[in-house]
Amino acid sequence: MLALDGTQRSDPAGTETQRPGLTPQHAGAPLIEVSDLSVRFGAVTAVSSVSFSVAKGEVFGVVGESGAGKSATARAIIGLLPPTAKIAGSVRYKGEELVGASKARLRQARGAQIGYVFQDALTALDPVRTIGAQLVEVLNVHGHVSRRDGLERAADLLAELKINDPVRTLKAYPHQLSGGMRQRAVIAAALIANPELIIADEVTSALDVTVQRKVLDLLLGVCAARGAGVILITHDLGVVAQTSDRVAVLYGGIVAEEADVFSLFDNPRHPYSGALLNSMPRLGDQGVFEPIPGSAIQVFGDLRACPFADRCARVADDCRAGVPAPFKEGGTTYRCLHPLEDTA
Amino acid sequence: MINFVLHRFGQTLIVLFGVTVIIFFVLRVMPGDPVGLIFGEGDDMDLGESRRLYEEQLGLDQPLYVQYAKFLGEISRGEFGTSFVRGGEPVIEMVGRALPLTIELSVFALLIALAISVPIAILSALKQNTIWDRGGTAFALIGVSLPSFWQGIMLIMFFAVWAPIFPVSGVMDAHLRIDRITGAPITDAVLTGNWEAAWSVLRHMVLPAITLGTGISGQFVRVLRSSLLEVKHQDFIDALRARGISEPTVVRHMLHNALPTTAVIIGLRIGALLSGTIVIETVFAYPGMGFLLIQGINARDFPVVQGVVVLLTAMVIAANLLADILHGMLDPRVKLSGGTGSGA
Repeated sequence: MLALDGTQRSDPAGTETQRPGLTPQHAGAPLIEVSDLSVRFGAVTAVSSVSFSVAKGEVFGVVGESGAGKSATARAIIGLLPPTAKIAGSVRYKGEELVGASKARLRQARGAQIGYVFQDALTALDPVRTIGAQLVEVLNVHGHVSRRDGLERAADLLAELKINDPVRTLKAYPHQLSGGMRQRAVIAAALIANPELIIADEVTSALDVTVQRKVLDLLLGVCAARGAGVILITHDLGVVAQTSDRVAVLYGGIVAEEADVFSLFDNPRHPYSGALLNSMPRLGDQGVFEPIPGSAIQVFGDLRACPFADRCARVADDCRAGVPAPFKEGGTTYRCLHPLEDTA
Repeated sequence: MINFVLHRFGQTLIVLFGVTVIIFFVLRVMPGDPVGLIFGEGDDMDLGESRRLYEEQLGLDQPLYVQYAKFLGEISRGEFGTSFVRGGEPVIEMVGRALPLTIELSVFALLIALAISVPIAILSALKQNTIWDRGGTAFALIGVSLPSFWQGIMLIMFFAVWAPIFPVSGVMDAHLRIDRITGAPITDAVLTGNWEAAWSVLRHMVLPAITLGTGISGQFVRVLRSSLLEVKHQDFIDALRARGISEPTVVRHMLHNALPTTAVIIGLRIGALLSGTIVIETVFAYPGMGFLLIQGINARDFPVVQGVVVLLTAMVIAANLLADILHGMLDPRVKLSGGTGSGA
């Protein structure tokens, strides 16, 4: 994939793919600002005081194992958690607080300002309505359009997503399309009302490996063309390496480390980030991966220690005395008392 | 589609053949004989020559297999013979009077059942495990469990004896007349602009239709509730919300998805509806197919019983076929094909 400014950027993960470069427009007020966000389901704490912000045009990667709180964070942003969930903290979209906002305001924000691309394309579309009807429906909730204009806009967007026969696709039902086509239709449904922030939740996990990259590139390409910010949720570090500008590594519901993508891959500070990188295959390595011992944590009640303590090689007594506060060093913020050495 | 209908037609013939065998022989092994009942004899009374003449005239003196072959031959030519009792009136004419009455009553009952069950099912499914849901479940259980004859008699007690609001027997007030066009009283009355008669017929139908309707609405509530719940937990419902679709529209999507299954179940319940009319028409002295059937059984009027049973069977099969075709039209994933019936 060609970078927008025509330059090519080296890949911190060592996988040889090009991707859009960082553009200077990131500076300025953040599009979305998440601070001290916590989400609880009954006794289970899914997210504890997560903070990050995403600027216009930026691709912000969120990585972590299943259960690390990625999806709960994303869903909290658009206020789409089950009624049993308790949310605390703040989510500001262009300065406007969304936590505790009215249902009507949230509904308006969803789709029109924040687009959410769902994990599983195979189930994210209504099986008994045509693609066209579902796309026009989104336009209609966010301002009335005639059916003809709506279909035209939908066709344009599908063409932009490299669907060969947009008009026929609009008339098709989801089951008549291939997985990759369906995922593009799902992306179109999230993008059609021109949101400025896109949350992509494991968008390609349900697809064949061969089409994963293509679909992801299309999504990011359209977002870049519109200058939209992207929160890219994935468990795949390779994807993050190739696409993201900045990355947050989630573990046990906290942001273990947040850094720009180069710093994270070259100079990880949190032991969990380091362990994740070591467990990932890199080009040129002779297949020596180190698995992380133990299994992902589920947090009950308040978090009172570093969630990674039980699996960490560098653990000490003070790790269990409380959750380490965020520590900022250069462009990297990490929550660890015994970080990996700074190799930069 | 055409293949499918032809295939089903073939199956229908086999079922109808089976029904003729069963009804023919069951009638003949039943105690009581038609001729004796015509003369109102006791078992010990000797009618001698007149019995022999009568049996000869009705064809009952011939061996059973000859009688059956004759009956099958008639049925396959679309003839239903003549009644043993009512001065040899053709069965087809008796059915012609009774059938439109039963159809109109059934449609009315079906409308009542839908009017009751659809809102209850939606409320139950949306507010799952709340007091609303439990109320809906209780209603469904009561509706299914109450014997319709008992419910009919209770309604007669309430609305005719204690608070005489509705008439309890017949089709309409005795002094009224309706010009016959289709034979269905309300339809004919409306077509001829005879509003007084239409109103009278409607009032006569209220109690039997309510009795019939509540019985089947219990089942409808269960079916629609469970298929709504199934849809409710599918991913695309949350995906719709994430696109900013309003809650009433989300419910419309749920209903659209639950409809095909429900339509099939309703089609399958047409049999229950028609067998319900047998009891209810007797309780309310409503001269439809059920009433005709019971009278025929009581008088051992073999041709009437045979004709009514074969026709009712054909109607149930036709309703099931219609439901399958409707399923194919409502759910784009279903392709109707011959061979295996309705496959997905």
